[in-house]
Amino acid sequence: MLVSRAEARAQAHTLKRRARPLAAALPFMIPGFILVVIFVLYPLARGVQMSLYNWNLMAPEQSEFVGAKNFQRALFGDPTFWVAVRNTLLYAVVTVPGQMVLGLGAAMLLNAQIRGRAFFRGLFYLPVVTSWLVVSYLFAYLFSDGMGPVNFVLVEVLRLLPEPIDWLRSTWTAQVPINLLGIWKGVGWNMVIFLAALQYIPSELYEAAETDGATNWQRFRYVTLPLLRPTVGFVSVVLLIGAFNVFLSVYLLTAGGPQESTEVLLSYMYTQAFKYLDFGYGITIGLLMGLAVVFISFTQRRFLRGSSVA
Amino acid sequence: MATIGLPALRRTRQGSTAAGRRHPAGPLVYLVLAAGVLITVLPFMYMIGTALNPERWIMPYPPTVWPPNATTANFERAWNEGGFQRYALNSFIVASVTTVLAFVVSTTSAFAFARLRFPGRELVFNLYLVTMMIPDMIALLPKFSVMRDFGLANSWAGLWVIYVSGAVAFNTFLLRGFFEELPRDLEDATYVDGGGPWTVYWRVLLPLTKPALATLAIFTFLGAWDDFWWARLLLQDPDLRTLPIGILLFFNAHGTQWSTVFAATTMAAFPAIVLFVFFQRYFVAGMRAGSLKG
Amino acid sequence: MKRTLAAVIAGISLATAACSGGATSPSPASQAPTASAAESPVASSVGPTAECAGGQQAKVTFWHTYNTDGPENKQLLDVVIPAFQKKCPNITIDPVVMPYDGLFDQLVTAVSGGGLPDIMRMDIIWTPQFAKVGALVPVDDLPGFNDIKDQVFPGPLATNVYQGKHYGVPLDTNTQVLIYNKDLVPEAPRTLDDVRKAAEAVKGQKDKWGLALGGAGPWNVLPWFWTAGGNVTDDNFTKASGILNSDASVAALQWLVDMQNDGLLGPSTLGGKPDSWGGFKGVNYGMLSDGPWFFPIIAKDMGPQVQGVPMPTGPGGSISVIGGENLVIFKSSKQAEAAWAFAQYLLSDEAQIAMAETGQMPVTRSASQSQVMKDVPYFAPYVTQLETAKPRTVSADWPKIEKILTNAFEAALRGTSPVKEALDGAAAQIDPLLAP
Repeated sequence: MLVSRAEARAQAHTLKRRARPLAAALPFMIPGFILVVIFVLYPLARGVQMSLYNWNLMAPEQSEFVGAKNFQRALFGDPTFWVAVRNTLLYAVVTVPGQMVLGLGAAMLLNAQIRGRAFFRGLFYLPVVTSWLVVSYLFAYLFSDGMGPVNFVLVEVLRLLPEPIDWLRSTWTAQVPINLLGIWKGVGWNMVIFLAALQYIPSELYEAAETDGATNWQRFRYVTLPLLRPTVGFVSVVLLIGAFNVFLSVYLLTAGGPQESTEVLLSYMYTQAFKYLDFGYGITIGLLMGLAVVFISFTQRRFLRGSSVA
Repeated sequence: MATIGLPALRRTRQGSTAAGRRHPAGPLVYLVLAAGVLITVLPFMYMIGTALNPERWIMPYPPTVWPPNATTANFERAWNEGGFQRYALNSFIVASVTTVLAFVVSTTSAFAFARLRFPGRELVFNLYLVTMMIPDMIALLPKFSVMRDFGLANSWAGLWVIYVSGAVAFNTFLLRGFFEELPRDLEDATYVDGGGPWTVYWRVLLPLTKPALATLAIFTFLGAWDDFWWARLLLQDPDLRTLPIGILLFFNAHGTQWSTVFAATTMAAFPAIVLFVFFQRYFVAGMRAGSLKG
Repeated sequence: MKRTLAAVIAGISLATAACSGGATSPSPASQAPTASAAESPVASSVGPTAECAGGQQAKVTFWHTYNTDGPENKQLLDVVIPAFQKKCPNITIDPVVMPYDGLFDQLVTAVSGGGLPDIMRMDIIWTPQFAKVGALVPVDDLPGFNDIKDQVFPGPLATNVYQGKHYGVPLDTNTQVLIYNKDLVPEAPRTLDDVRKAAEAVKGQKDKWGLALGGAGPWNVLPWFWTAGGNVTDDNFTKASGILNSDASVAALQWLVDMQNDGLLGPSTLGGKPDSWGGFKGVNYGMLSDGPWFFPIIAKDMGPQVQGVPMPTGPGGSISVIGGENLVIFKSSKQAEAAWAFAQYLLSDEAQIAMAETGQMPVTRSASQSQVMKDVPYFAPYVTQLETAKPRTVSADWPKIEKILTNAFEAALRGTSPVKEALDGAAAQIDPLLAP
């Protein structure tokens, strides 16, 4: 009854709080909100506006309004756009689950009390802290034609291949280093998030499961996984965004070649905007991509939330 | 349960054990870890191998992990030339201040979105999500103009504004998830004892979400430490430049000083790793033990 | 700003110039200084005038991409700029080393949002593109331009042209010559047939190839394509059809494709390892074509068996490609006159020779004939080669043309497309990009 009296007081207090909810929340949310509105939302809105124009870099006011022409061009008149869509989707389908599974695995292993835990954690995090620029060049080097390091290992050391593969020179083999790099670079990031999330799982649950005689797999399947569901939701959205934003690695590994066949959406956008100075069209490509991500993410969030009613 | 106080919580937290802790790792675990380490580290061995290569413009051929005549000269050159030390210091200041500012703005913001109710909360939150989903490159030119209009071009303040504003949405999304995981009872107890939202934020929320806060610190610091895109566009004064620009300077018009680039990159990764090792201590199980929801 | 320029050109007093010097946004009307300006007395003097751009105090920001730790940067800071400032004490030069990687993006952003320097040393292939967006000051009517025009080599000068006007002046130039290693190629190849024979002699040794190209892009392919008799456009860059896909061009590319199919070209041609530098140094490759920087960077510790000679002669002659940098002044500059004075100084014999000592090839005839060109041993074949070297297609749409050409060359070299078909396709794509 002590409990119930306290609950009653708390409820009364909650009601009082609700009387002026905005006043209580404002000091907390307003600094971030102002920053986002001025430095993120407003420039984004201006950027979106550019997609409707044939943008004039020096004299924006002289830009020619072209309406939906840029969108028509992307969707109906530009096969390279669809090649970029295909490659981006492939990258998302491969790297998002790849990173998540390996990252969660690493987190599970390194959440246990094992010797050299900090060392292993640090090592797996190493790829995350190395700049995309440099690891992209590094992978280009590893997967270079002729006797590049990877070919060297596959042909001369392991003797798995009769002759070297020109990894970066054809459409489909080039996807191997691009996607591998994405996974390799991202596992540590996933590990960090999952490590943090694992700390929130009460040990009582594991103890109870153990009392019931649950196996390791059962404990993972029926305790860990359900409780990680919100984190999985968060991670999958962030990874999806990240996958769609793949750019620098592709740009540096293949530059979209051969014949634009490994172009992804952002590298294609970059080429149109920053190489050909066609900002209207470049931004349209980015915008279409953004809309796709918004659609997929919100569908997915709804799906995850809907199925997580416990 | 609902009346559990903070001191009580602190006691249980320390006495608690996590599930994994009581299961010593078998040889299989180490085998898997070793395989992971090999795959993770192999590219870096080539990186360091190249950094030790006496020939600075050429990657070793045939590939080798330990070049003949290995030398540390590239590390010395990278360290001593082109203002590297100054850039490193600049980067450290920029990234540290970014981390502190982003911490304050993001934790308060996430607290509001996770624990306070106000009109338009979901709308604004979804708006934040949308800004994350639309590629930043779209907004690049307008953002640059805004920075100039505010007189923030060519200054670290500009970088701080860019990094912190850019991190708000992500961090709010990240922390909101963790904050929502915390049971309401502690918070309600604090309100009952006469505390306001600030007390909850400072005395309950932050102390209980250390793993999440460590994550935030790690990611934010790294984001600022690694960024070359905005640092390059915004900073014109060579004295203000950060480390990634210093490394870009080793890429020349007619060729790249690979050995120097890789040596510089190896050194640049160091502070970020140290910071990670420092913060990963907070990934310790049992934060929530004894305060089960229900 | 433009008004200021016109004022100075017309010889109006300093005070007026200083007053309008603070005037801001350039109006469209101010884009063309009066025609009479070119005939003014000031214009006829060579080099910087005594009063140095009107004599008012000016600070000029100068972006360049000389290596931070290279001899060029040292020479610029220790010799060239101090000498200029002795001449023009009222003008302060603020040199900024820019990272070459990503510089184009940075320029584009600054063109749109501000923050450009006053003057810049810019890759020659960028000039028409920035002229097209209206970011550059046309220099045709600036004082002393005609003297510079008479002094510099026409090839490098032509890279500054957009729609009949010059938007910069060349600062340094370079080209590629044939470089061979006597360990693999004992005799200097004089013709394309010699090159092929030399490569055939090397073939068969493990990990050794006769000729290596640095890639399949125009910079690497064009010297061979031109020498073998091919052409991309007419001399005025107005059309590609009938030229890029002519019989002569098809035969020229076919020569290179045959080399590739017969295993005479190193893997670097299609982006493989070893790259052209590493392979040449590692004696995997016997010949390559490259610019003068190759000697101080790669050849310097390879001994006398590495020699440079002009490109071999083929059906097209001995033709190489022009590289180098231009000096451009940005329209946003409030110090355009002072920047121009600095540009004029950088084109003086004194400055050109000082930079030549560090490997920067001069663009003026007089500096090219100076002793320093004979003192730098590896310059000789380059000086000869520059006589016939040609610029890449001078066009604001060069990035697109470059991509089209790369795709066509690569398809032909890989054998994914017959030579004629590849060039037909490229010509059709390039035509609409060339304004008549």
